Amino acid sequence: MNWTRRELIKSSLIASAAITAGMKLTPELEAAVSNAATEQLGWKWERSVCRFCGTGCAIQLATQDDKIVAVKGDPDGPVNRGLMCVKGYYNAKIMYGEDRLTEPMLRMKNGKFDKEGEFTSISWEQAFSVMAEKIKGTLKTKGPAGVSMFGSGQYTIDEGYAANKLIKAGFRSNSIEPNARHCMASAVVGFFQVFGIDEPSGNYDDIEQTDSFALWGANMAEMHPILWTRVVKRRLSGGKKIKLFNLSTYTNRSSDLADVEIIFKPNTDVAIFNYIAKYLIDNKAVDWDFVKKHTVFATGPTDIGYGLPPDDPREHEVTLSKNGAIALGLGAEGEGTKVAQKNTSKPLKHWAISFEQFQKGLEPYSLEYVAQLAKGDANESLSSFKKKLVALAQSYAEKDRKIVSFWTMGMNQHTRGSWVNELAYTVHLLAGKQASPGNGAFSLTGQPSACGTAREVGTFGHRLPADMLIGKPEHRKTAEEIWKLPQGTLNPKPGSHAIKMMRELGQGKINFFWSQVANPFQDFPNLHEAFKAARRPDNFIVVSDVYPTVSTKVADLILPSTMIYEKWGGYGNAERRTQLWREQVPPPGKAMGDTWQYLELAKHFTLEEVWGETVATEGNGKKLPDVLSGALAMGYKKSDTLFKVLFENPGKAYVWDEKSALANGRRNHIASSQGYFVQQALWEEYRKFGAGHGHDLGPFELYYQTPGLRWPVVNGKETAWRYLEGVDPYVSKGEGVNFYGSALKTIAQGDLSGPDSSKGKITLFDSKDSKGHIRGGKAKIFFRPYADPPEMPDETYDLWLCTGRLIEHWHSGTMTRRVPELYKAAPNATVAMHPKDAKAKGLKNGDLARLASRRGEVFARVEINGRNRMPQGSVFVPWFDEHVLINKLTLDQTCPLSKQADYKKCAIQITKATL
Amino acid sequence: MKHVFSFGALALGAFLMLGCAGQKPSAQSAIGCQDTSLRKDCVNQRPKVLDPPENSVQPPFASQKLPRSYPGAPPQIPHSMEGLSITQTSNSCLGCHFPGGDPVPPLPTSHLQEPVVRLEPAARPATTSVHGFKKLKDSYDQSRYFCVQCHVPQATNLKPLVKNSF
Repeated sequence: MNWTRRELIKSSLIASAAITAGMKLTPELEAAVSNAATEQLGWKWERSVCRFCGTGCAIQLATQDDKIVAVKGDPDGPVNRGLMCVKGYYNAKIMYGEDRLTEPMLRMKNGKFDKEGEFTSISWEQAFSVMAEKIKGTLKTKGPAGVSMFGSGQYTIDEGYAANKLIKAGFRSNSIEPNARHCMASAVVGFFQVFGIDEPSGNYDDIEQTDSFALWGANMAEMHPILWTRVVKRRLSGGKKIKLFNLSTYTNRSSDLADVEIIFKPNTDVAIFNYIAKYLIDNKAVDWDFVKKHTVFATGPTDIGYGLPPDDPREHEVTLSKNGAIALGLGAEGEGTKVAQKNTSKPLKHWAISFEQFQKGLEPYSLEYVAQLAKGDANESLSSFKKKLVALAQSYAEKDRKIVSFWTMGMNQHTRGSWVNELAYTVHLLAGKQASPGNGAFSLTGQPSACGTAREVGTFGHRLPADMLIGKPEHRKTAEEIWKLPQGTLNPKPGSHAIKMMRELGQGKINFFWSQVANPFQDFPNLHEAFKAARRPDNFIVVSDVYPTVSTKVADLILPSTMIYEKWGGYGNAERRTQLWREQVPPPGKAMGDTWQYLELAKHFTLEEVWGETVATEGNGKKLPDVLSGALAMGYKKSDTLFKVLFENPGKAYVWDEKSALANGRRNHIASSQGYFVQQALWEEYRKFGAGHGHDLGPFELYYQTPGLRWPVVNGKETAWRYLEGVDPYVSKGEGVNFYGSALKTIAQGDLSGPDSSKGKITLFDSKDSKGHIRGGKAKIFFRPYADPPEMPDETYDLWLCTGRLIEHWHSGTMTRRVPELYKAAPNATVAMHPKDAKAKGLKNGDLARLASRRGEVFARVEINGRNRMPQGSVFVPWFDEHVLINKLTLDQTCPLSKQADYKKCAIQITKATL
Repeated sequence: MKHVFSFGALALGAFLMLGCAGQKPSAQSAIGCQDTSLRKDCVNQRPKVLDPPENSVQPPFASQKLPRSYPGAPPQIPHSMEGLSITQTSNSCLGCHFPGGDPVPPLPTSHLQEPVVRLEPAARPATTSVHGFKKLKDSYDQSRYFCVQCHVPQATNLKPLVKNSF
């Protein structure tokens, strides 16, 4: 169809008007807003990815005159097939709030930095100068560990990689943690413990191939909306066999599609999994061929505390409730037993046990015990609840029924989050329903790149890229070789995890804290403690962000940063799909990409200033040795900057050519500034870490020719299902299934009470091939007991508080609440309550309520019979609303293994607010 | 004006902190009080009470269409949601909005087609790929069953928290 410009504009306007008026478009008018037609208007369409959740939808953005003018789902995207959710449609509008940060700002008085000063605009050079001064000062007084970064599952792969390299290789500090510690750490530990390697074995195509879905504390309808559309389609069109179970602590939108809704008490998911495992054994539904060939049974210590501050009495001794005693096999008479918490510093320890011991551990988890423990709705009969548990167990047991288990924060943000992740694999492995299409436990990732950036790049205190660990000398050596560092540069002591980092910031052990693509002073639990830490006079807080947030308000230096489409970048989603995009529009004002910030800061340090012998401090322990002589031997000079060593030398070979096919006519503000193709250089260096050991990524350009690829990408081909013969290149012919993850594959042996040092260690694989790859690798089937959470409702604080999200808003709402359509759809965080609870407290729908815990108070309006319908005794408040700041009430408790905070359960009281 | 408000917030905050039972007494002064971010007041204290949102009370037939942000954006719901629901067995929205029904905005053609997806053998780079769309006869793509994943109501009494220049 040929158009004159006049015809096209006229038709486009008619089409727009028609769409606005809700009229059906004729084929001609539909064509007028198609890609081809709008190109004649000067619109340029290009594929990119969504800014929001871990689903990782592919989108198409239209730009015109340096502005993004339209967004749609990419019809060729294999994840979303042209669909987007309501947030996705505003991927462009989030960029245009009028209070975008455009200048660096420092608190100043009388022309100098002053912690009590007013925010004043400064230049980037002044910003980097004060940052360098603060970092150098902290290195002298607190050592490297005193310098910290708080990164993100939302920063791009190159941003996370550059930050990780700068802090670990440059400043020799391992104090970098992502907000993904609050999001996926328990899932990561579950993967490492069971499989020896991170991330799911399956992919989203499991949805169309399975017969059953079990959602475990994951409201997919709102949190992974496009995956939900695929589940919905499968359920509605797949025939009578398809079943969906929604296990949740309250009724939510995912219940609207469920065949069976199971409302359970907080924390009891562990017990329900144990019931299913026992059911599989008792009903002869264990796939013994699979179990004998591919697994071993295992367990670990139970006296591990709750990740509370070290002086909390619950970290030293726990008194068992009746349910807690039964869970440990002590029977009801064990109620009141005091258990010393001796393994709070060694919670990851585990050992192999016999099947008999495994079965013995599961003995208490009968239907009787679990049903009375787990039933969450006081108004549901016990017999009704029991029937549902049986139906659930049957779906795992039925031989010819495929089943996928999905979960996100309900299982991860949990004081036994690592355990419950392990148990999801326990039931799937027992039934032989793992690592094959349509069958498997699938950990869903919340953030867009918690996988691609935080986990795969290793922006954690204890990690390096490609699943390597700071604590392993051979891994540090590999990193030092790839990064061309003198041996011994990297600090062997892992950095503190996020919750500990915030405690150390409050104690003054950390003095420099740089938040990047995150909002820590809204997202940490027990916020009043975090605020105090930020305002400690000896602490210097830097926040790189795009809008003013709660975090920028408690910071000392604010750095204006770019939003997603204002830079080249890449994200990795929950199904291991890495997707890259190009810069679409320039950054506003003086805002610059985060990677540019790391590179520029690196120019302000010489090797002499950072690679000499470090101080020994209370937090840091031993001194780090001087590596300058090693550096000189490698040809470096003492006066070389960190930029030269870490970023310029490896990058020079990568030329940025705006006219190249790869550039596709797009600009690259970071490459133009630095004089080389920074993102490609960092990518090509980064992928050396994973090549040849199961983490392979393809060359940079390949990702611009495909709608993303699922790693491992070997010889340019992606891997859809891992561990499976014929699909995963790391599995040999004849193996069938090979759980080849190499971590934690040599373990002690013992029984339920502990490891037995008289028995030797066992190796969980048959052999290693000539390349060092595992053959015949085994996974672990864990036994873990139920444990009460540390803070439960009592007489004063009589309600459970659960926190979470809504579909309209992303995380802390700083982007989505600036889009009027999303704001008006869900303006404020409300407190969802059961009508009887509300009535008992004199509250009606819409009343303003005061919510208080032992840690703080907030105010929110009551919502009864909204989208989230609570059981009695439990309330829900989403955390997107900075006017409510629900994290003032939450408890800084963690899973002791993963160190991930539990935001899903603490005890609060509610009263009517005085206005 | 700003100073008066800050002082008021400080005073109110202090009053509340002294008056609350069951709470650790806090010696914190006001923190993060700049007139920025969405709440424009001290982050460690009680914010100003906001007006509750009022959703549309217009019944379905009597409401006016809302302007879309850009061509292709999903239209917002201008009418009251009272009594309307989407469950496994019934979808109130389709009752009116399915094409050929009542004179209200119908499902557009995008909703009446489904993607053709193929899983290739691992011989080409990508295993899963989309090969165009197939029109559905007298039906809609069931992926889109839960309309409220894209179409949301709007509080009619609220002004945006910040201006947006999109």
